[in-house]
Parts: sequence; structure tokens; C-alpha cells
Amino acid sequence: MTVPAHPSHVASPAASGPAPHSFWQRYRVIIVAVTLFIVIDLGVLMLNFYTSFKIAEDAVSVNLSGRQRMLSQRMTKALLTLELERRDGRDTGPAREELRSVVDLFDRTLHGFNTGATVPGGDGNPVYLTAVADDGGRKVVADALARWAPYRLALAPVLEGRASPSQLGIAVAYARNENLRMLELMNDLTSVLEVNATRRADFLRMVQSVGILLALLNFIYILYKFLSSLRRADQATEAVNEENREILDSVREGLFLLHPDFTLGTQISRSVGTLLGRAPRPGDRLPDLLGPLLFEKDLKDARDYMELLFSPHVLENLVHSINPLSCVEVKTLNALGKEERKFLSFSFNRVLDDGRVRHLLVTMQDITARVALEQQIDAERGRARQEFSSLVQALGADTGALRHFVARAETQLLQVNSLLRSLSEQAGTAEVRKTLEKVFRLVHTFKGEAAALHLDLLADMAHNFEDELQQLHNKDRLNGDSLIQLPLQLEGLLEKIAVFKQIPLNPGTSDDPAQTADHALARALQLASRAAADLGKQVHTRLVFEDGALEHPWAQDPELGSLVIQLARNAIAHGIETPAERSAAGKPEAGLLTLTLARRASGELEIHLRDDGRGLQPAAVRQRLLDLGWYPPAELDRLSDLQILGQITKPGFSTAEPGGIHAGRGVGLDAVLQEVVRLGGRLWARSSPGRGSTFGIVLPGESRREPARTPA
Amino acid sequence: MRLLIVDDSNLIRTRIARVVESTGLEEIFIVGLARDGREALQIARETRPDVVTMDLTMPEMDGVATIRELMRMPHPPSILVVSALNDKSTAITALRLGARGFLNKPFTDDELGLALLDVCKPL
Repeated sequence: MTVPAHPSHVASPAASGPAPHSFWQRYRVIIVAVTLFIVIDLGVLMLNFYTSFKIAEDAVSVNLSGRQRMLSQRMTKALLTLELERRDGRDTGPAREELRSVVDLFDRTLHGFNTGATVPGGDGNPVYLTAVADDGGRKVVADALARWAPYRLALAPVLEGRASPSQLGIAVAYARNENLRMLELMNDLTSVLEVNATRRADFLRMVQSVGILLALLNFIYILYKFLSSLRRADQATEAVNEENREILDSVREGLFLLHPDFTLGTQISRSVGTLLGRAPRPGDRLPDLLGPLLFEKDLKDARDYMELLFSPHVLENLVHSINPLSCVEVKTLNALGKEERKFLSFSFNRVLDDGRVRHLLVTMQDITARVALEQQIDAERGRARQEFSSLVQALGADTGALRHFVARAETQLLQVNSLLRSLSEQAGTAEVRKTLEKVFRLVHTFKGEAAALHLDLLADMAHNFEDELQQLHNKDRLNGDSLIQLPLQLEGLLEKIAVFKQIPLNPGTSDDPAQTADHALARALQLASRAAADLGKQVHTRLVFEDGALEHPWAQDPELGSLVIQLARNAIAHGIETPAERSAAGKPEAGLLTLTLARRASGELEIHLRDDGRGLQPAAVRQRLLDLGWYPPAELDRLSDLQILGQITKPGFSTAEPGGIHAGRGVGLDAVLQEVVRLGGRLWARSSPGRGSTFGIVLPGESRREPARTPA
Repeated sequence: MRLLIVDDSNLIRTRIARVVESTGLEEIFIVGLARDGREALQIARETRPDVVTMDLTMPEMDGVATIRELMRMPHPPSILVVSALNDKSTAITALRLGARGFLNKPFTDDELGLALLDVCKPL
């Protein structure tokens, strides 16, 4: 059987390589043994045949020598009868005839013993009489011949019927004299022949015994060889099986053969069980095993795909790409009994035998790590792309604003860092929560500015940071250790800021401080109003400098831009309605933000941002305060609308749905208030329901900033 | 080998034609180019191609329906599906109907050339 490798079909080595042993080499011993067995058998058979033939001859000789004795008697009797007939004058014919036939038979048989001849046997049929070979026998035969010759001579006239009475008398005398002697001789001959026959029979027995013994030995040898080679073969098979078992037990891939009816073969690697979460048995159907792991449609596709591989018309190497099981997400239970998500890949290779697809070799792999890596690479690629576009946007953005942002961002982040560091491990829940709120404000400000500059990557990162802070803040018990993860987030942000710091940012072209201020604030408004598009709102902005405001030292302060951004974003997120809502209220679809800077007679700078949105709604704030659970309902009822509205700058308050990148953290106004207070100013608000709100900031006459916060 | 190219994209049709006319595929010559299934069947009845490259998503008559019709012809051609892999089920259906292989778009010239050689092999 061959497993075609993808993409070219390669026969397995077992099929193409030379056989390790030729037939002769492998079975030499058994062939020799069997040949020997046949030779021995044939030899014994031939000897047996020959000897028994000889024994048959001996039987003839013994029989005929016995007959000689009888013939000798008959001869004597015939002679005496003849003599009697003649004396009585009766017909001597029958007696002479008897004598002639007896003499003839005796004579031929006796010569037969000497030289070998065909003579009539006991039943009258001719038999071959072999010459006596034995020395003792030959002597007896020679003696008998010597005595027979004169006897025969004396009988000749009688047989011819012309014997005179004296000649007959001589013949009778011979008969009387020789009969006994002949009888003795023939007796001796019989004895000799019988001894010979007995010897031959003994020999035959010996040959047979030896033959059987040799055959038996040979048989035992063959049996031994056969059994030992059988044992060797069994051991080799067992070794192969053992190796197979070891491979199947230790290979990381799930391996098994699949029959055309989708049942599993007998050899299944251990990993199959680990990968599937349960060990399959030979004969189990693969679709049954996959059923619980796959959607029905995927299972049908998988079955169809396997069927395709068994169909001869389909080209195996042109269908791998449509394998529906190349990446399958499954949930299995691990050794701890916990549910585990895994990605498995099943690949199918045809196993051909004589050009026909006999089985599919199924290889299962756990590709979770690979899939995770691919996902990571994808995410990395996305991040890189985002970072790149951030940089491109940054380069396209106003360099002055970016420069300020980078400098402020670094300061803010370092501040976060020192806040986190200054927290002792023994700090209590309240203290940690307070630190979290401070960090939150800084991060939120950072996020707002990043979003305003459309540095989405940074805004996203800050947003994630906020999420984590929020989660911590929601915990019942906190200590210094609770914040252990936060420096990681901070590092990430600082790294990104470091990248931005390396971008050569020209310090702006205009040297006129007034123009710079004008430009910076206009930019701040514009940046903030970008948030509107993301919220599905439309905004126009207007910037008004009243007399002398532009020359006010605060007007050129980058901190002011930051405050304006926060206020404007707050107004867009909470004040300005959606175009539909505005149309319904009879307002133009686009909202209007007006930023006014005015120098007061006292030398203070007043900045107010007016929007024409829905205004602050005491009912909504009341409801929100109720939801937050800050006050018992009864107490809320007692508060005046003004007191209620005073709550909106409290940390954690927001009426927008939480989680949006532009608002909803409940720190917007809180952050502005903190910043304004830090700068030595104050914050006021005015609102008219349905017509809009105005947030005002009053900053002291001189730009008084803490030295540490001076941007580079 | 007589080849019919079926694809609704002119770019793909000319691309396949260019690959076929390049080296190594001298035994294959193009007998027709079709923009959709209907046109493909008409050309196939006239020219009796041995091999067809078949897009799956086409206007008028899609690849699966076209393959079903082509396989009913007295001497059905050897079909190579050349399509983007956004639905494995459709690809599997096409192969179950008798297509012999699937080539994923986008493909390289060599991938197409080797796939064509494979599809030209007799069953």
C-alpha cells in the first residue's frame, strides 16, 4: 500500500526497495530438510521394493526346491509302476508318460537352480527361477547335478520306450539308490534357500526401521526449524507491533486510518483521545465523534469532503484548500475536568492500494498555539497600522498643539507615576480610592486631549487604563497592593509618548504671542468639536476676544487650551443635542459653541464657553444622583435645583452613559474644577433649560503656575 | 487538450489564457472564453472541450448549476473550479457534482499551471 505524499505521488519504500531476503535464503533450511526427507523416503522405498522382489524370488526358489523332493519321489514311483506294468504285461504308456513329464520338470528345475531359467511354477504358469548364488547352495546344486547326470542317462532308454529289462532294472536301481540322496540334497537346498530368504527379510526390516528412524529424525528437525523460524517471525512481528504501539502512544499528532464507511481503523494514536477529549475505539464512526464538537453544517461539509476524497474523480492535491476541518474550534475537558478551548486541524491523505483509495490517513493536530500566534500577529499588525496612522495624523496635526500635548501628557503621566509610587502598601481603602480619583482625572484629561488631536491609539489606551481604574474603584476593599497592575498600563502610555517625542515638531512659526493664543484656542475648540462627529452631532464654534483679552498673560498659556478642550468636550457630550432632537426643538441642526475671553477691570481673565444645547436639567441630575446612591431619596427631595446642579462637578458624576470615549466617566467637570482651583481660579456655571449652558472660568491677573508643571 | 475558460472577470480570463499560452502547457489550447454559465454551456456544446476552468460566482448562471449541466453532456469535460474560497460548502458541492479540483483565488501562475496539468490527466 502506498500513501501518496502531497503534491507528488511517491511510493513508500517498502514497495519499491529490494526484498530483504530472497525466497531461497529465507527458506533454505526447510527446503534442504524437506528434500532430504523425500530422498530418504525414496531410498527406503526403492530398497524395500528391491528386497521384497528378491524375497519373492527366494520364495519361488524355496517352493521349487520343495517340489524337487516331491518330483524325486514321483519319479521313483513312476519307475516302479512302469516295471510292474511291464512285468504284468499291461500297457506301460501312462506310467512312462508320467515319468517323462516328472523327469523333464525335475531336470529343468535343477538346471534352473544352476544357471537360472523360466520353468513352470506350482500352478503350471511359468516362473523365473534365479540361479542359486549362495556358496553353500551352489555346492548342493553341483552335487545334485553330478548325481543326476548318470541317473538321467540311465533313465533315457526308459523314457524313449526302448529300454531292455536290464536297462529298466538299472534305472530302477538308480532310483532306489538316488531317491533318498536326492531328497536329502533338495532338503539341504531348501534349507539354504530359506536361510537366505530369512536374511533378506531381516535386511528389509532393518532398512525399513532405519528409514523410518531417519525420516523421523528429519521430521523432528523440520519441525524444530519450522517452529523456531515461526517463533522468530512472531518475535519480529511482535517487535514491529511494539514499535507501532510506541509510535502511536507517543506521537503528538492524532493518527488513524479511516474506512470508506467513515469507521476508524484498529491503529489509533493515543493523542486522538487527548485531542478529542475522549478516546475513540476501532470501528467508531468519525462523524459520531465529531458530532458533539461541530455545527451541523460543518459536520455535513466534513462528511461530504471525506466522501470526495474517496471518489476517484477528485484530484487529492487540488482539494486540500477546501478541507472544512483544517481549523476547527472545539471545547473539550482537560485532565483537570475543566473546559478547554482548542483549535484542531484534521488533514486527510489518501491511502492507495492498486490505484484505489482504500483508506484515508487522518492526521489531527492541536493548532491552538498557531492560531493564537496568527491572531496575535493580526492584532499586532492592526496595532502597528493604527500607530502608523496616529503618527501620520500627528504629523499632519498642528505641531504647536501636538508639542504642548506631548509635553503635558508626559507631565501628567509622570504625575500619575509619582501618585502611584507615593501610595504606601499599608494605605487604606479610602486613601487608595482618593489616589485612584486623582489618577483618573489625569488620565481622563490626557484621554480628552489625545482624542481631540485624533491620536486614537493613545485615546484607546487611556480609555483601557480608565476601565481598569474604574474597576478598582468599584471594589469594596483596596490597599496599596491593589494597584500593582497599573504601572504596566502607564509604561505603555509613556512608551508611546516617547515615540511622539522623537517626531521633530517645529516650535510654530508665529512669534506673536497674541496670534499664538488666538491660534491655540481656535485649535482647541476645533479639536474638541471633532468629538461631535463621533457622537453623531454637529457643532459650529466661535471665538470672541474682548478688548485686551488677547494680551492677557493667561491667554497664551497652553493650560488654557487644555481647559477649553475639556469644557468644549463636556458641552458637546452633555449639552448639544443630536440634530434630530435639535430640529424637534426648533433649533438649527448644528449646535453653536461660543468661547469668549474677556479681561476684567480687576485684571482677572474671564473665559466662558456658551452652548445652545439642552441646558442643565435638574431632574436628570437628581435622577442620576439617585442612581449613584450618593444621597438618600428623602434628602435629595429637600435639595433645591441649584444645590442639585452644584453636584455636577463632584468626582464620579456624569449623566452620559458610561464607557464612551468622549464622556461618561464622571470626571470631566471634576477635572476642570480641580485644574482651575490649582491655577488659583474659580469655576461658575449658568444654565437655562432648553436654551443652553455657560461655563465660566475666572483666572487671577497673573499667570501663576507651579514650576514643576511648566511645559518644556 | 481543449480548454474552455469560464469566469465573469475579464482579468481572470486573460490571466488564465496567458498562463496557458506560456511554457509547459503546449498541449492545452483554448477553445473558448465564457463570462457566465449560459455562455459556457453554449460554447461547450459547440466546441466539446476536454477541460474547463470554472468560476463559482457568476451572474446569469452560477458555477454549480453550470457544472451540473456540463456533467450531463455525453463526454463531460474535466473541470477545475477556480474561485475565491469564502464558502467551502459551495466548493464541496461543485466537486460532488463532478468537478475534479479546486484552485483558490488568488493563485500564482505556477499554481494554475500545475493544477491544469493535474486536471488534464485522464481519470
